[in-house]
Parts: sequence; C-alpha cells; structure tokens
Amino acid sequence: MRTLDRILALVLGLAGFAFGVLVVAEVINAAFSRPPLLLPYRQAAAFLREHSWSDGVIVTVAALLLAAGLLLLIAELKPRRRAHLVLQSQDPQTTTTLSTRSLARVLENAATQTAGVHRAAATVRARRARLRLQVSTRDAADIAAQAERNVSSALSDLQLRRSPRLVVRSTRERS
Amino acid sequence: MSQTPPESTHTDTRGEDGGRQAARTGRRTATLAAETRAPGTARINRTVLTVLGLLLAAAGAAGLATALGLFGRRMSDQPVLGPAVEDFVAANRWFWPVVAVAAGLLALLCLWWLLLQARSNRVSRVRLATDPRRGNTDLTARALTNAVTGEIEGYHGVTRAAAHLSGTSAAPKLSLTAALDGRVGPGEIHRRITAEAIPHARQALGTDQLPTRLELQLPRAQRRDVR
Repeated sequence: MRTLDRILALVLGLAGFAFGVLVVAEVINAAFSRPPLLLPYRQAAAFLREHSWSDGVIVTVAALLLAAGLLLLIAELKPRRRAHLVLQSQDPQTTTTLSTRSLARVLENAATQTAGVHRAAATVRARRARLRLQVSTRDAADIAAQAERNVSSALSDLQLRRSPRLVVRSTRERS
Repeated sequence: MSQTPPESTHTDTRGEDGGRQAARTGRRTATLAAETRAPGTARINRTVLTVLGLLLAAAGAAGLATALGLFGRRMSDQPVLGPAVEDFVAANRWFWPVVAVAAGLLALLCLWWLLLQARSNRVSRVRLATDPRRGNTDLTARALTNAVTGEIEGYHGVTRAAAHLSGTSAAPKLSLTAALDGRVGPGEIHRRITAEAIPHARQALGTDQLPTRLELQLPRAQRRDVR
C-alpha cells in the first residue's frame, strides 16, 4: 500500500502542481484580455451552463467522484496488516523478522519433506497459519500426523515471539 | 487423480511453546510492519490521500444530493453554472486574484508533497571519531554495508544479502535483509548473523550500540510436488 500511496502522491502531486501553475498563468493572461493558453475554461464554462444538475452526465460524474473518494478513504483508513513476525533474539538490540509469506514457505518445505506428502500449501497471518496437505491414500492419518509434527517442530525451531496457531487440513489423493 | 474431501482430517494445534512464549515475552511486539525508507513521508501520504478521498466523496455526495432534489426540485433543474454564479464573479473584481492566489498555494503545496517523496532516513557516512584539533573521522556507510553483506552472503543457505544504515551519522541503525535458499533453517541463519556478522559490524564501528533490524526472506519458490 505504501508503494501505491507513493505512486499516487507522485501522480497527484505533479498534476496538482501543473494545474495550480496553469491556473495562475491563465488568470494573469486573461487579465490582459488574451485568449486561453492551455486550459479550455471557456468550453468548460459553456458545458456547465448547458447542463443542469439532474443531467445524466453530471450525475455520472458526481457518482464517479463519490466512488473514487470512498475507495480512497477505505484504502487509506483500513488498518495496515503487520506482515512481519518477530523472532526471539538473544541480542536486545537486534530485531529479527520473518514475513508471513516466508513463514508459509518454511511450513510448506517442512511438510513436503515428510514421506507421503504430495503437496503442501500454507497461508500465514499473524495469529493463524493454515496448512493444506495432499497425502497418499495409504496410511493417510499417520502421514498427516507425521507432517504435522515436522511442521510444528520447524515452527518452534524459529523461536517466534508469538507463534501463530497452526491449523492443518489434509486431504487424501487417489493415484 | 481426484481429491476426496469427505475423508479429510482436520486438526488444530498451537505451535509448540506458542502460548508460553507469548506469556514469557509479555507485551513485547510480536509483529511489525515492513520497513520503510521514510516513515514520516508514508504518514503524510496517508493523511493527504485520506483528506483528498474525503473531499472527493463530499463533492460527489453533494452533486448527487443536488441532482436528486435533496436541496429542492428547482435546484436540480438549474444549470451547474447558473447566472447567479456568473453575476457574483462579474460583480466582485477580487474573485480572480483570489483564485490565482489559491491556485498558487495549491501549486506550492503540491511541490512540497512531491519533494517529500525524495526524503530518506538513510545515512551515507558514519562518524567514527571527533577531534577538534585533528578533525573528524568518517566511514562511508557503503564500506560497512558491503563488508556485512559480503560476510552474510558467504554463509551456507544465504543467496543474497542487502544492508543499509539509517538514523543519524552519530547514532546509526543497521537494516539487514537476507534471502535464504531454504537449505538451512531461518532460525540457524538468524543465530549465525546475530552471533557473527552483527558483532563484526559493531566492532568495525567501535561501538556496542548498533540497533539492528534483520529481515529473513524465503523466495517464492514453486510448490514442491514430490511425485
């Protein structure tokens, strides 16, 4: 979101700066009774004179403005997800983090190293890690239990300050 | 090949020691937001965009309310630029100068916002010693960060490392990123970096005070299918 904010800031900042400078130039220009430089304000004024508030085009523009404003408000006011989990450290001056995406890779790797696990896909949030396994039909319960032990062990080896709750779901796969 | 959801199992366990760890560490932060080059700029961008969203939404809502007749049926049938507005502009000679001043202020505000985007909290030099008679001794940040990343990239299990210094030249902070290849666990890499690379960086700066943020990354690899 920060990257999108920065892109929006650059685009809107440039547009606002150019518009402001142009308006100043047009006002000075018009004071000397010269024709418009770049801004088609005469056409814009004529358009606004011809259309009433209830015209379709004005209603559409108002609706688009409302939608864009609400979208921007929701995007900016929505709490940002803290996607970095902090590891315990012996050094009080060092803060080590692992992104939720990286933790998902750790869990997937730990699961797929278990014999009989065909596939693993993890989704991690700060409080919960979901792991979906596809295991062989034969000894499926044992394989899933072993995979879960491996994943729990990998999770505890990381020594996160707060480990997310692990939820493992396994499905059997017919060969 | 087909999946059989009815035969699926579902277990729900807390990671080993999860609860106890949380209790031990008390109220210390368990999660952090991604690091940013300029936290102040990020805050200002968010505030400005929120205000802009509010203004757009208010303008749109007012336009729709007028169109729907909430301010009277007569108003909704009036042209957007009515004669009353044009008469007002014609009667007040100060109107256009005020518009020009407002537009100039808008341009200046936008210029300030644009320049803010170039702001960064990174430092390029670190002050090692200050001597009023002999002068100051500085170390370029790149010399330190290159040495640290070179050391970390030499560790088994690390594919790439990046580092930068932020804060001030007298009180720098070190930010490290290490991309792992998955052959060595993140826990082990973390222990090695905190036991070796970071103390070496502190030694190079001749200080015990070097707050460090280390971010471990596992690249997005294709999901392993062992069949």
